[in-house]
Amino acid sequence: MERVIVAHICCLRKVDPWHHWRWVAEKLGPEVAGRELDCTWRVLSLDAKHYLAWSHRQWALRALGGWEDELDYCHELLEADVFNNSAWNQRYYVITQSPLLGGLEAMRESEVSYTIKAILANPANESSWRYLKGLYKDDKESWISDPSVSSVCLNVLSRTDCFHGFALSTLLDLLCDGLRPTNKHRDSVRALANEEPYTNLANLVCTILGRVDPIRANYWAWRKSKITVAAM
Amino acid sequence: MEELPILTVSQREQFLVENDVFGYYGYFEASDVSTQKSMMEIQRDKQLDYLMKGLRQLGREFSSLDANRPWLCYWILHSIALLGESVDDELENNAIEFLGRCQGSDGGYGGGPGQLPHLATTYAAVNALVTIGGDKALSSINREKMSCFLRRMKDRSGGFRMHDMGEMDVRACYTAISVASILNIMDDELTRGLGDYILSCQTYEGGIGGEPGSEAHGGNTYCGLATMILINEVDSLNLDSLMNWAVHRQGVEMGFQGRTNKLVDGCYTFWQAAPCVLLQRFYSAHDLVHHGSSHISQGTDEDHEDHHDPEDSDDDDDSDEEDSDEGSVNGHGVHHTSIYINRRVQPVFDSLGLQRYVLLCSKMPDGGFRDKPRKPPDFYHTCYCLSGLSVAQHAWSKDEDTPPLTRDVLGSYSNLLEPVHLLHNVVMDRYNEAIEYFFKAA
Repeated sequence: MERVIVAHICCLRKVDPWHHWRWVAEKLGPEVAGRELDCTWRVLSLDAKHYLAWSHRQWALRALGGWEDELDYCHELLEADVFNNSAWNQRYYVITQSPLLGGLEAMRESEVSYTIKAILANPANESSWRYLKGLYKDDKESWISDPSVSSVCLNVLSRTDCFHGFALSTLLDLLCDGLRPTNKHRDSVRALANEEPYTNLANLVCTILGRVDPIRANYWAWRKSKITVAAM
Repeated sequence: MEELPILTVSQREQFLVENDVFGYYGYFEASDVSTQKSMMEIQRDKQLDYLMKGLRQLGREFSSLDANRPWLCYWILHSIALLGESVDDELENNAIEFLGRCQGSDGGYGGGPGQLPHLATTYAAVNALVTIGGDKALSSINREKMSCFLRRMKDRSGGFRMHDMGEMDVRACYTAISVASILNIMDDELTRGLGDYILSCQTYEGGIGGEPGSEAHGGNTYCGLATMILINEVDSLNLDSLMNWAVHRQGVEMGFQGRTNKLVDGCYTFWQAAPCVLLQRFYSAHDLVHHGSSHISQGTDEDHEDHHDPEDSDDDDDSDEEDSDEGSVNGHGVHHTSIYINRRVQPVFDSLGLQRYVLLCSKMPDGGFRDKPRKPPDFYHTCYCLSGLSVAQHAWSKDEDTPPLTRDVLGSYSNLLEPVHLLHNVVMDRYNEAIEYFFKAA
């Protein structure tokens, strides 16, 4: 009933209804947590990327609780559509904000393993690569020293049947962040080179990216121009 | 029979759009030269007809439930200004008068006469009035009351609310700061804590979301970045990851998408290309090394083109739009060092490809622009496709004093649009006029 009244007021006042639902729910307290989650679930079942539904859902979790099943919900959505970037974003929200979980660092190992599985199944899925990098936010040391990050890049690069762009750009980021390349890295990249000259590894990766990801050819050239002496 | 792979919703929708878009590109490739030429034309006359019709209709309709009219004013007037045209005195006066009636007695502008003042409609109204230009339009804005309104919308946490008890998000922050900046009513109270709020909206992907935790999104990324530049706190953002995210929003269709794995949309031509250009200019003006370390950079900022000096070039077509005014304000709020004036860069995104998407897939030959094939045109998309097209055409120029070369403009050089101020999205000439007016008024 409140929703009908709120919608009517919003229409008269010409304001955003989603925000007013927050205002009403806030007044009612945690007992309506289930209802708010249910309501957003319904909208998301019609459009799993609905922007306002997601922000409303995040607000509801924060203000009213109900975190218990959220990670499972994200998993369900990703099973249905692993390219759903909103679901990946929500997953990140849960692992970093949920009072029931230990926070990013505590969740990192299991999440890395989850993400790598997703990457290997669909190496052209940008969402999973960005999520992987996000798991190491503000922790450069772990990012460059975790062998699983490096090895997922090498794994994808060794395949002939898929897009290499994200593996290469991830490797480029690792190198620029201080990863010391091994022979495995060099051989892996050289195998993709078309007689392009080898000056330094990061440089070569940029060159190959210019060819493999031509839409961003100018960006990769710009990246090349910014490679520091340290990345050589 | 071979089993077909099961596509996810994202994949299926993406394939359908690609099918449409490549259909258009294929048709273009297969056409004869003269058809191709006409497909590449902006069709100025048709665009103006569409826009003027919209403006006149706006004046006639008095539907009190429509909260969008200041927006429609801005979208249409700005589009006309981008085409280098202006509107007759009567229509101008009607617009000024109408917007005046939307102005609240306590400051700010609502969606219509008597409606609650709202930051979004305030932004639209101010931009519309700046676009109209001239004393009558500019003097109609009550700056003192506006200051009070902006202060009322300011939240203790640092952000801004769209209206009394309204939602707080990055768009609200941008609309408030853009207005404060142009009207010369910026102060510490408005900017306090704002940088921290916007920083908290930058996601793990690198782009910026509407609220802390929300998904990285083109419109919010533009709003967040522009605000940070205006308040001089842009270097607290992770610029490397922001740039990386933004350039990856250009897909195989050559247009931009708003979020990762979502569909191309003509309006993101502006929302995503503008951040790319802003960031590139910022990096070059500060000679930033990637990853912000103090190591020696591999080389100074490169020009991939020859240095182009507009004074002694003879390969430009004569253009009415050439702007070599001395003393033009270079990006109010953006730092420029003088050695970078009159130089060019290779844009980090594919500008010609982007222009192709706009001209072949978004542009309606009978007037107006749209999101993508099969969608109808509307004034919002017309505004942001044209604004984005202007950004793309001027993307090689490091600053506003460097006019584009013929090869920067897809189609004939007559497609060239007026340059916009990237932080406010009003045409440069009108911006300069407004700044002079409001800074004198101080």
